[in-house]
Amino acid sequence: MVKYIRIAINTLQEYFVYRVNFFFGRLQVFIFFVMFFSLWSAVSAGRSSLGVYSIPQIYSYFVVGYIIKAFVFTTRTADIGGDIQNGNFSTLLIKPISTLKYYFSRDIIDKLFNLFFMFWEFILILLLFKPELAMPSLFNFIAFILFLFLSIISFFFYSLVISFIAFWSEDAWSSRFLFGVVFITIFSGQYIPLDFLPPVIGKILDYTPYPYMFYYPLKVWLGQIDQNMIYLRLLNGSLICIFFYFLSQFMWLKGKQKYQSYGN
Amino acid sequence: MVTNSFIKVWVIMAKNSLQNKLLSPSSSIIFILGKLFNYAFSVLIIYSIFNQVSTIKNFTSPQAIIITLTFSLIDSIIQFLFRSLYTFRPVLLKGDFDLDLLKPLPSFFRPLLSGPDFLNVPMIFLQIIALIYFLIKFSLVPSVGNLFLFLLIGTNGIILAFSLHLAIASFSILTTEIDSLVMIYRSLGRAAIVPTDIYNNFFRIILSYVIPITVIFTLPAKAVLNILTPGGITYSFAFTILFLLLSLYFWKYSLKHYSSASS
Repeated sequence: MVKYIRIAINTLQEYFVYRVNFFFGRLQVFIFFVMFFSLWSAVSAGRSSLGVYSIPQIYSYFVVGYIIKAFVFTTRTADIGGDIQNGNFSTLLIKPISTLKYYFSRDIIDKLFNLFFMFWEFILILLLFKPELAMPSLFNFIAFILFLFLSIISFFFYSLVISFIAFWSEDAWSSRFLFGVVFITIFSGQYIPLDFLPPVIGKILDYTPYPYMFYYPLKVWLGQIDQNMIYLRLLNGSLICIFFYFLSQFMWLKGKQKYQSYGN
Repeated sequence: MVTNSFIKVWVIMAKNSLQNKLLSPSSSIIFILGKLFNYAFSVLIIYSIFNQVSTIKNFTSPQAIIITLTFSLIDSIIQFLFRSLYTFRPVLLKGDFDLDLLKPLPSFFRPLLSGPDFLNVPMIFLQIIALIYFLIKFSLVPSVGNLFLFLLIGTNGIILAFSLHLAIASFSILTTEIDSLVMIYRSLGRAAIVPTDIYNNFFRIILSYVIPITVIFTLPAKAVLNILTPGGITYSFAFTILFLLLSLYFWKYSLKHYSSASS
């Protein structure tokens, strides 16, 4: 346990070495929020509702979504693909540590560090934009926390799966770009609530893991999913989590056998 | 003469870059697929937003879709031309930039122009076809004059994008931080997926005067739609000249303060 705490501390120290890069990284996330918040402010100006959303609900979608992004989509598992391809992975394999726990330790500290900054950014958002927010009932809040927890775990294993593709592919970043950036941002509902898209697309997305990582937690916060459906969605979310856990374990076992060390 | 040799070197570098992409066809296809999804859903998102509201600040759905299509086209051209900036950091950290400074090429050649990204080429063709298709579909076909103005303002926008990339490269020489700065530009650029006029005052001022995304993306689209004012044209050219001069000055300043990382 002590060695993984040491890994986490070392990761934290890395952030302090590349301070400007980290600052700009957070600034980029903040700008992304400002852009979408401004866009939806313009869309909702002079209107009392947009589709099934009241204006406070549409603001909440993006403001609470900002918190979800910091909890769920901050990860260091994206480094694995690069490590596999440049040969750094070999040095990890010969160390007396669990490789997956090594990345998990880095992931945890990455989330904590980002959450710390997200907290202050969130206060800044409330002060700057003074958005009128929709608050959930106690039941919905508890369900939201459960969804959030499932989203974090699902995304961690999903991201591992994407990184492990590097065992078989010649380029780690193409699969990360398609599955870890494009699909996640578009299909999880980060740009637009998914029920604004044509119904047929919404139905197809229902069979994918993406809405469970961002869209459904927000729908629960907004009280737009009834109680029975929440249980069903939680069950689906848990199954997705289990699926990606086993898939990542399978790929890890097979990938290690396939791994060829080259590079420095 | 100098221009000819400059173009020759660029063509050689472009060929190398293309060969590099062809070495890993599967990953190139995956990248193109990602860009295709991004493009298609950008249009779909704008279409879906305008399904909820008929107009936003006097912009209609067809106008907004043309602006999105123009944005994507110009963005792909910029990505094609200046992609090498994204790989400049390792060059700086290794100290390889010293060798580039010794070559009889403009000092900004390596960071900005040495690696055109051919993965954007299929997208550029597709985006031109889609733009023409939707202009005809929405009965918004521009006159020859407007088309000429679009090419002029569009080229001007690309020069401004060059200046912005040069400013980022200059900043990276001083700090060796580059990745997130490029991503900030990309995030801000994405704001032009809709006409920047629709944003509130504060954000619109940033997009118009601080990081002039409006000049790069929105004004060329307005030229196509014949809604660009003479003031907009003047602002576009004046701002580009000013920004180009400032970024060249900043580039020279950063070169004076450059110290090789490896020595």
